[in-house]
Amino acid sequence: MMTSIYERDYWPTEEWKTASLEDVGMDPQKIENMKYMINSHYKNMTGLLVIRKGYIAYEKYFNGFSMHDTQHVASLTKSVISALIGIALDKGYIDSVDQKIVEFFPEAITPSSSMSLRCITIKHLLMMTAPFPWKHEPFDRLARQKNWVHYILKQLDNKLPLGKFQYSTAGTHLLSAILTATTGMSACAFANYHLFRHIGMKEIEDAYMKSFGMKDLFGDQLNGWVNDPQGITTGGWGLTTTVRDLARFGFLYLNHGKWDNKQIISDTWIRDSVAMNENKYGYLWWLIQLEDQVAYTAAGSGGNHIFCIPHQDLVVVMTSKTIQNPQERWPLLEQYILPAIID
Amino acid sequence: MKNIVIQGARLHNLKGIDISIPKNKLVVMTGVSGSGKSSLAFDIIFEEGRKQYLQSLGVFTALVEEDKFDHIAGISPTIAVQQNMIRQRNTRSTVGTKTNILKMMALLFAMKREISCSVCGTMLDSYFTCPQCEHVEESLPVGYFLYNNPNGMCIRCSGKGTYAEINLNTLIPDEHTTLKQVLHTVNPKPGYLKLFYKKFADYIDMPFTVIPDEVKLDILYGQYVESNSQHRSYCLHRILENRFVKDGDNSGGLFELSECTACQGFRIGEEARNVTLNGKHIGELASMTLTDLKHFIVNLLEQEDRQQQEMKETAKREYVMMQDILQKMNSLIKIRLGHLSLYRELPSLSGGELQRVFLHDHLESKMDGMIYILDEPTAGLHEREKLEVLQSIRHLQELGNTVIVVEHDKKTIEMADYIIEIGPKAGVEGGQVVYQGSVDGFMQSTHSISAPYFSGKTKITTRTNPSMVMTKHTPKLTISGANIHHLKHITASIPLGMLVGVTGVSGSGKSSLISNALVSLLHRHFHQQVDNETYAEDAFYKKQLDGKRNTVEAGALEGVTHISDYVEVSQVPIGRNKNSTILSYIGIWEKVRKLFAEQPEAKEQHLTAGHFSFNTKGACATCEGNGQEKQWLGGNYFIYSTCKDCHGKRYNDEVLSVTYKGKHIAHILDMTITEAITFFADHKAIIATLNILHSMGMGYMTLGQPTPTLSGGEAQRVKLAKELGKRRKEQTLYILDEPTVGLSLYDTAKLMSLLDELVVKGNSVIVIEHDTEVLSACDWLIELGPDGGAGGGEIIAEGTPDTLKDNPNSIIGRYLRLS
Ligand SMILES: Nc1ncnc2c1ncn2[C@@H]1O[C@H](COP(=O)(O)OP(=O)(O)OP(=O)(O)O)[C@@H](O)[C@H]1O
Ligand SMILES: [Mg+2]
Ligand SMILES: [Zn+2]
Ligand SMILES: [Zn+2]
Ligand SMILES: [Zn+2]
Repeated sequence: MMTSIYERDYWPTEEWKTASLEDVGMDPQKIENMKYMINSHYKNMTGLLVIRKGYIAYEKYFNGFSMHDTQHVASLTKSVISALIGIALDKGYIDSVDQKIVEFFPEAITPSSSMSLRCITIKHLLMMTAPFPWKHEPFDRLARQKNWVHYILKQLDNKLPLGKFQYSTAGTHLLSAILTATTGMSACAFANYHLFRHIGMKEIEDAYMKSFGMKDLFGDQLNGWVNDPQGITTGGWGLTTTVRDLARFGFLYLNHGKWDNKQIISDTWIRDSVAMNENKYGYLWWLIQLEDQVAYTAAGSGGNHIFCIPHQDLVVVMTSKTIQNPQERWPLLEQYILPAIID
Repeated sequence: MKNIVIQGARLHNLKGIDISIPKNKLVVMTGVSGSGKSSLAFDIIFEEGRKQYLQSLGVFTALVEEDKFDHIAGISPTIAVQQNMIRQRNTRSTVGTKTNILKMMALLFAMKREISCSVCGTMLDSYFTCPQCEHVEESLPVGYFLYNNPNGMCIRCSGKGTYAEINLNTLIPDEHTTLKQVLHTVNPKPGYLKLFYKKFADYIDMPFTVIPDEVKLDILYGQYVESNSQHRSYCLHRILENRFVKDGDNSGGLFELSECTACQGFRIGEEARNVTLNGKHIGELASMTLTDLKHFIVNLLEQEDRQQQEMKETAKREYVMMQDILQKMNSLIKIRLGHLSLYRELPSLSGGELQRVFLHDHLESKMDGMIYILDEPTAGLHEREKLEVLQSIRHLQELGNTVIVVEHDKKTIEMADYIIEIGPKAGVEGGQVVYQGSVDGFMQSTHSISAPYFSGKTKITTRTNPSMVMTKHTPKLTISGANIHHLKHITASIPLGMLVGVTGVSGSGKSSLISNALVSLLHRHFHQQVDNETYAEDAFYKKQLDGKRNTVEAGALEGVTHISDYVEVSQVPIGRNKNSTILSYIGIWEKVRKLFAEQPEAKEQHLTAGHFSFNTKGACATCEGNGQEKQWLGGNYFIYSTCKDCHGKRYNDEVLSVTYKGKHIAHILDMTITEAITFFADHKAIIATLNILHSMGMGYMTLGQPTPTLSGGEAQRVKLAKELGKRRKEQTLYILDEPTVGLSLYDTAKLMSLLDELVVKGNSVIVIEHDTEVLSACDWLIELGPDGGAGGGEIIAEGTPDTLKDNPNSIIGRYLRLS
């Protein structure tokens, strides 16, 4: 894959700057055509932001939302956890992605623990290839547990072979728990300290949890970043943030982890995170094979995305209200946004 | 239309027959095994009923009709409950799921419950706030009480209550055991062993315990792969699981089914196990017998009654739910299923039990104007139990339905409104209507083969050495302290050199005593001793065998020295592999193919024995050896037509050019057993088992008939013949579990003379039986009872049939035929 390194004339740490579509080499008419599509087929969309060459080229909000509103971005959270694991590795909290997860939870391992459980590595969790025994992940059941981490480890204590792609939110929660086990901080606090504040993202508070019902964990009144009964930041969902901050996170990836001369996440981590493979899933990033390039996206249910298209110097953020069976978002890029690029 | 009228029925062996069946009556269709009853009842009447039903829904349009009959009229929607059709493989379905009672119980639990505080364990009553620690417990939705629901299932065993896995302690007895030893213990086929050696060359002499975990995981459980159905790369788990699933072989204890330690076999998660009704959680209730569960619910209802006055709206709903459950339970108990539990897996039920579980559904449905076709619904029932089942069937007819029962049972025949006998004999000698009319006329019929048995004119057997009696000097096998399942620490003495019948109501413990306790004790005695001898010099193996020895706790056995070996023929049906034929099943297919490969034409063309198998190298390329081509009609509908290249012969021309005594291999598959016995006269090894089948009256069958198409009775006897065909020492003990299920009295008579012959030759035979004709012909009877489940497990009577008749404790005694 060709790596594109772009020179930046400013960094959006304080504020994003705006430019016209023409100025960043995009055809306004093509983008205009997209509106009709959004109004008719993407009614649950709340925000759409196109960043080209480091400038806001297009920004729209729907359903009464604005650039100041924070929203729950569901599973998009997972890609942030991926970044945090990368940072923890850079800083030496974690030795390698091949480290066995049981090393971090010695209390959960017994002489009769299965060989499968003993062999699961951080990488298995990052790539969704740990052997969970279910077809449909029961969230309600997870929410009822007194100790989520122990419950999840119990699920993995089985005799299944490793390596099958099985998307699992519970697995990502273990990654958050590993961050806490190694750094002594909640993933949320770790993110604030080592990531968000460096790239101008608003710091996020650990949510104050009175109870752990489905509403408290997944409802539309979430604030900050939710956590489990032990105070461990939810690893698979639970982050609430703004559209412009999501764009900052995507922009960091487009810039190989470097922000205004400071390496926030190592370039190798980002490369490894989005290296194409047969599951089209990297380290908690979905991979998209274009003709001879790879794009990638963080994705949360309902239609929450940070699309990163490095070879076009393009970041597209979409946020949405959670609904059943939302329309796929990638066609908007494929049919309108990418064809609008004229330089 | 008052009758179902069929003209010119000619499917399988049916000889263009005309039949008229009165509607809204209870009709019994009988005849010897293989006479064509099922072909008529299921393949014609049921298929036609189903087709008309589908047509009425507009589903069937383009079906190419198979030529089964000239004309048919009077068919209405048809429901068939056929034994091999409802043969269940899916262990996830249980009596509770099939009858929907488990779901109702789950609703009850979700409504009314006692719950313990999950923080401090204090029992809470109807309020969910713990009085001790003030923790608020959330109410649990229905799904949490169901083992098939992702919320409810025990995570460890996925809701099965058991799991099958490698017994690592047996496989790797100590820290010195090397990978090489592990592989030899598992003993895979040489080719695969080589693969292991190659792949794990670096570790082969290493003690297993010090091998890196990843490599261990790879050896034991493999890696995930798309390409095979188990989704594992080749590994020890796959080898052992295959043996276990396909052949029921636990590899000497290396792969075992054990109760789940997380849920104690209760299938559900911790959440639901914390919720109880009168101190019992749903898993405990679902493990009780239906009879016990009924008492439990009745108790609950009585408590409710006492609190009637203060009954709240929710309590009323519970009350109604309990009434509903009780009603369903009562109807199951009435058709003699009270000894089953809600968690009992359908594949483990006997044919008769399964029939009745399915029948129950229809008895509840209260539909009328239907045609029901039932296949031996009283199979496996004790004489005393039949009545209520038959009443239920009568009830089904009285609701306004036509009920056609395919049956050999005398009681059923006696209560029928109309009898049809197909015959006179099996296969080509059958396929005609021998009798149709009233029961009285049937008993008088001079054409019928079976009527004389029913009327008592012909006895099913005349024993060669009558009246053998057990004395002090009779050699015997004695099991003592048997307490498997509900057995009450009993001691049973089985006289040897005789025909011994073991009987008792369903669930009384016959199978527990014989198939479980006795057989595992015999297995321990014979096979482990052999294993020991074979590997006597190898201390490593010895150690393992000692480990295995304690796995069965069945009781103690005395007198084994009087027998030289034992053989068990169980009720487990023959596999449904469509490539399995009679020839391959009885184990002579290899020999026939070798014979063909030795012919000069074969040698010239370099054809090996493998080429003469139709599912490998020798197959017709067009149909891949199926002889048929599958054509898709859309949706779920397929039709099969004869392959136009090989014309159904399954082989390619090269293979068919090889002949032996003028016949090619496809000719052989078309031969009847009788023809084959003459044709292969010089090949003793080939004809041994065929001779036995012939003497059982099955000479009409063709060698290449796929085993899944065998009729119920045929399949049983093919299995038996296979066992009898193995060369045995004298003084062998034969153990047969209900060998007459699916047999007409005519066929039973043939079977009995075979068993008699075994006894005459100095062997011993134990039959687990309900059939009073067979029991009357035994030398000695052991009766278990008095009831099923916890109410059974004792020996209530033993002795000769004559003494049992006068024994007031015996239940079967009064049904035995006076000699
Ligand atoms: N699909 C088939 N292909 C070839 N032969 C078949 C097929 N189905 C049945 N037969 C043969 O037709 C004959 C009649 O079979 P059918 O199943 O109707 O007998 P049955 O009277 O029901 O016997 P049983 O009492 O043992 O169930 C038997 O010889 C059987 O082997
Ligand atoms: Mg039949
Ligand atoms: Zn409490
Ligand atoms: Zn379990
Ligand atoms: Zn063919």
